[in-house]
Amino acid sequence: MAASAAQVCLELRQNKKFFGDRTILRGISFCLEVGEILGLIGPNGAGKTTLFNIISGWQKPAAGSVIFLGQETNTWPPERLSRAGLARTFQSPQIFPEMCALENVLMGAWLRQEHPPLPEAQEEAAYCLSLVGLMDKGQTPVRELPLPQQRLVELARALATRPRLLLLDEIAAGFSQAALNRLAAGLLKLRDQGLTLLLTDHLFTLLEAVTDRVLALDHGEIIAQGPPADLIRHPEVISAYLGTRYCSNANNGGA
Amino acid sequence: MWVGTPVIFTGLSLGSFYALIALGFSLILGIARAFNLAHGEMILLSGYLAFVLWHYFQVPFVFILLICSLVLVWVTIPLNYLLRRLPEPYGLNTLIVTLGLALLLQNLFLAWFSADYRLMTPAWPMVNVPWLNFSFPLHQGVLIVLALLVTGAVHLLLQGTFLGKALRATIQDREAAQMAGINVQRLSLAAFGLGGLLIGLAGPLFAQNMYLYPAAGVEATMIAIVVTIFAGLGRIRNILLGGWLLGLTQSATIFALGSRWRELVSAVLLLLLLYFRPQGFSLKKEG
Repeated sequence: MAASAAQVCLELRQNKKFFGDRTILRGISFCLEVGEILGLIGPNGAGKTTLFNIISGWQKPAAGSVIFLGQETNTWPPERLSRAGLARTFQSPQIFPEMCALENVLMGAWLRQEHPPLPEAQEEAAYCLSLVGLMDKGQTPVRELPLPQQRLVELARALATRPRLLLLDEIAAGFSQAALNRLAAGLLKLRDQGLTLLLTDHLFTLLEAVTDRVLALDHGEIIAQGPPADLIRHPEVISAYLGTRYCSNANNGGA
Repeated sequence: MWVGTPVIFTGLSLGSFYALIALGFSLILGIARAFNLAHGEMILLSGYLAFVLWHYFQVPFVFILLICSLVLVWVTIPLNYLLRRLPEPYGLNTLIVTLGLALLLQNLFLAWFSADYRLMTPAWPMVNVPWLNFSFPLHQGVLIVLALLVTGAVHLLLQGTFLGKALRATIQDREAAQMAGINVQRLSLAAFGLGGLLIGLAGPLFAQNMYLYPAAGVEATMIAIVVTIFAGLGRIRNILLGGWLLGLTQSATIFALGSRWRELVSAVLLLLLLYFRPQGFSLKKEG
């Protein structure tokens, strides 16, 4: 993939983050092209969520810059990034617990920058909910839905903001294999429509199924990157994250 | 006349007044996440202003309500900008800063108005209800109507409008609201503005229903906290119900045991609520 400036969706340059005297990120740099699906792996505490927080405006980097669609966004608050086309989901879903699923998604469709008329927003919310396969749960209060479905509601709301870049933080946790397959197919379809994706997941099967490239993070540094199939065999990634058992399973043809 | 009629009517009137006291507090806590311990003192500020307007300038009551509401907006909006600069943990820090503000205001009241008790006593006519064989001062009826109108208006604002949807979303989950593109800082400003209007409105009512003295704000803050916990954040209708429950309980207590027990009622209700229903009456328990 030959990168030109116009094709770059997100660029991180030397991002650093410290908590007290602990270094969380040690100069992270990478580029994400428009339409690319990039995966992020690493053991707990590697800095994945901090990186997500920095990209989506929830935390400020101590040094370095974040460039989203050609603009430096280091100091932008999350809502400004959301209006500029960056959506994300959280490990524990951030939803409106007292509203039904459809209303939750409507918030994304209606309150976004261009503020469409309500009927149009309602139609779009219903469409986004159908994309994640939850049309029959539209009127259910989301606090009554199981956690994986709450994640899907959050995903539908993120899609309703019409993002250019979507960050998914462990969205597939608790998903059945069938749900995982549906999710993977859906994400690939979204990419075909021009969406750029950055996702982190403990389930390497999802990353294998959808990502073009995976970055492996450990102790706040990128220790390896490449197509998922190559990364499984990378010795540093194996020792830091995957473990030898996963590797031998993968070599035997199963995960 | 049945002996319960005045007890119920006084309770409803008192409860309506409590709901008006709690409304501004609840909006500011829910939307801006600021725990305003100076809420009662701000109501007192509005109350003292109303007293001055009534006592020295003989301003009609309707205009007093209007003037106090507009003036208090100019107190709460600067407070919004002051609190916005606080670092995390935001909720705890707002508690400390507004406690300081409450003490400052109390001492200013002491310096300006001395520790004397003051009461606004405009001449309200009595209203007679022949079929109940019952009469009541008009201002008690005004309180009930005003509370219904104001809570109704705020309820409609939250349910029916674009701004209301955004406000409700922010009350339920601030992070999710930001992800949906809602500018929560601007909504905090709206909450403090609206809260200021409501605090301003509560002041003159306080001045004619309870005595004004420098430390009187503490009870108003306490009432606001009890009613807000009862209602659950953002539940405007429940604020009215919570106010009525507190008002009726106090009214019945005064009738049965005497007025010296009145203040204890809100404290006991608060303890019971915190023990049995800390999540509010309207919300189901999590999990």
